[in-house]
Amino acid sequence: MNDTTVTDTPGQAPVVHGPRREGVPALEARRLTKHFPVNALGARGRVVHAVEDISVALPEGTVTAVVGESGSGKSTLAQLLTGLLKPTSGELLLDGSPVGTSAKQRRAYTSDVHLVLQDPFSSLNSAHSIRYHLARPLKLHTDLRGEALEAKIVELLERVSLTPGKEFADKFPHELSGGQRQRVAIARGLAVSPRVLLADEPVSMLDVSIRLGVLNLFDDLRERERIAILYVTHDIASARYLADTIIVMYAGEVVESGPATQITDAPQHPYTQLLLSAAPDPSRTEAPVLRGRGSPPSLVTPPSGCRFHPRCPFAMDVCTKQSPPSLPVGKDQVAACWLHSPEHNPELGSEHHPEHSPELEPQSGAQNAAAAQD
Amino acid sequence: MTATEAITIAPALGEPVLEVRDLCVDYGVGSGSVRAVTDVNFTLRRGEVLGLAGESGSGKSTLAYAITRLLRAPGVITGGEVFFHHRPVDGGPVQTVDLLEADARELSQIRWVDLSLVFQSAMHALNPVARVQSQLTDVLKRHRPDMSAADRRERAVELLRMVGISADRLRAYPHELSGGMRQRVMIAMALALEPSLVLMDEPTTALDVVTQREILEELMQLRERLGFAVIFITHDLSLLLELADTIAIMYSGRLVELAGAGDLIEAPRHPYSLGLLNSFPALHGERVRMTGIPGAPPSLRAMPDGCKFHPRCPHAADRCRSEEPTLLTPAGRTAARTVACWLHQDPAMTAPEALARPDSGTVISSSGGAVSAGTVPSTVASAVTGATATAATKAQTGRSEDISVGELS
Repeated sequence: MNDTTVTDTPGQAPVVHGPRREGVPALEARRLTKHFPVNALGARGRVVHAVEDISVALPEGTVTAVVGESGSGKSTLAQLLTGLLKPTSGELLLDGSPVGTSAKQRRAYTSDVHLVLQDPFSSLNSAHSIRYHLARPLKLHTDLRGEALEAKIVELLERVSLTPGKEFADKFPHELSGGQRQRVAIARGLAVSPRVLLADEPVSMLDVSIRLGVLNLFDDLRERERIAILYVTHDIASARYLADTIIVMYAGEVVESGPATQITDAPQHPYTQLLLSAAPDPSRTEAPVLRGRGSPPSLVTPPSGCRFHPRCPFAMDVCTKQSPPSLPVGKDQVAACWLHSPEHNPELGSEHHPEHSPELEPQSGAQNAAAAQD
Repeated sequence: MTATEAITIAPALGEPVLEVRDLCVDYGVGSGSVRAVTDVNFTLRRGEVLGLAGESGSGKSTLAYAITRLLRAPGVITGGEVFFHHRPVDGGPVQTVDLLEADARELSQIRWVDLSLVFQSAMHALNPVARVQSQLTDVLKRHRPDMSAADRRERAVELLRMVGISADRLRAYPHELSGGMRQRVMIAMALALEPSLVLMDEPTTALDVVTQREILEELMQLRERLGFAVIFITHDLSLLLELADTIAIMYSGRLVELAGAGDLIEAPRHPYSLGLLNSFPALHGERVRMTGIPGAPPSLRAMPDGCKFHPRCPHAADRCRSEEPTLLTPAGRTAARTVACWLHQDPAMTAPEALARPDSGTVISSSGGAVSAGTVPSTVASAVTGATATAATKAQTGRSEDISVGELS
């Protein structure tokens, strides 16, 4: 499973995305697929291909960022990992063992894997105090009552830097700022001592000056409490800031994954290059050249072959026919693109050893990658 | 406030099109009222892009609505002047109108003809039960009564083509368009009568980065061709740095810094501007732990005394707590810029190194890319973050795993 250089040919083990660490990852998803049925008249029987055959491993003490445009399936992936959404196929493994389906096992799972939602303004109940919000998961999942419960609530609030915790416990959501509310939501996630925290766009609703505080809190949780964190975002710069590994999703599929700085400094997939060239970047000295205009495809009838090919400036014949496997393009970095297959891109040459030459880029993509590195 | 006469940024841009003087806006009347915009002054020149950045609640949208006189109750404009210089007849003499004094008839002659607005949420700003065509031709029907229906349709097609939408979308309803296309329709509509000033209130916030980039590119091309001035309101400072000529930073209803975009990135003067710049993780260079700005913006109901930023400011001194600084050109500076901070105005105080970097002297155009010498990496942003690492934080560089657990903001 730690072998990153396997190619994803049918029948073989899938490429597992996520940070490479020794030992068994806290949470692992194997070949998750989610198809939502379409209920519109005349479209019955068809499905939305939201998540397609994705394997992720979240080792403890790491942050994995999932980056993509809206509709790329990144939130669906997070929801699949919570277990709230039943996958069409694939399985979840907590500490290496499959998650059962009995009510007891599901409850145990929800206390180990917790979700932090995007909007702290609607994820807290305005009719209840902060104390209530934190007491509820504790009462459901632990035996703490009375003084011990109160002490735990104060401790939780102080862990997310809401001090003095006693004072904050008495407040109501409307008395808190957005950043403070998001901290309460995180504290609620921490209440049951989870091993894994799934954060779905946790800072996109917050003001810029407060975002870093919340991101740094995740960083501390990773360092201090060894929690495995999945950070879903559309902001590739914040993913680079926080994450160990970045997974780039497009139209329900992983197109590229690898160490965070490697992905942003030397993107290998044309879509990652497009995302980076579009991201605001004050250091850019010239207007960026966008490669691959247009918008993501319909997921009810996704394009044949590589789902990015209608937008891809480098699309070849094979791209329209065959979906590319995840090919190694650098140390721990894989990209699902035919440009990296020596078979289909003669410019690479047959002696191509990607793991020994991470700088090597496809001729056609080199210019753009270089532009992104400026 | 006499010092505001000094605000002459990028004189090459031509005559002023909008002058805002001491504009104040309150919400509510009487003892329960709060001041949302306080003494805002700036001048916008023809063809200039002014970026207005600030956090939510800083009053930037309120300012835009006050300028266009679209402010709804309980919002009340309590003071100031907004001079709009426009040419009622193409090529005719320039007329100056105080928008705050204008009556309904005058306003209707200016609004949309010479001054238009692009709203944040295109889904809500477009009429869901009217086709794109009728929404585009509506404004022509109202302001160009002598146009024939065929001409109006032709103009609508032209407008859509201008923003990159094919003519067959004319018959579409807003819900049949993607978010990016809706925003493009909004922009086409705003440009229908070739205004000289377009206000844009977070026009791309709800869009994906690729779509956002496409729309901004189109917008900048259109501006080059049609020569309208833009007030671009956003909370995303990193975006403004790429597209604005001038950037105004708002905090708690006040402009705290106004400078050319290049100057602002390279040499911010206000601690809040520096804090905002340091709140955007860089896409390149070493990963360093950044701190952002501690605390949260004050409530309008409980404004602190003195400088409104002092409770969050790392450099706050006694004078900051008692006396409010005004927007002035910092002493001994060459570039045309203003800042409201005692660090640059009180001779007894010295600004820390990070806030006293030399001006670039010229306004960097978005393609100019002047880089100050002596900074470690070769790009402006790296220079900014590099300085952050040394001045603003004591962060250790290196992979984030190596970063020690610091104080949380």
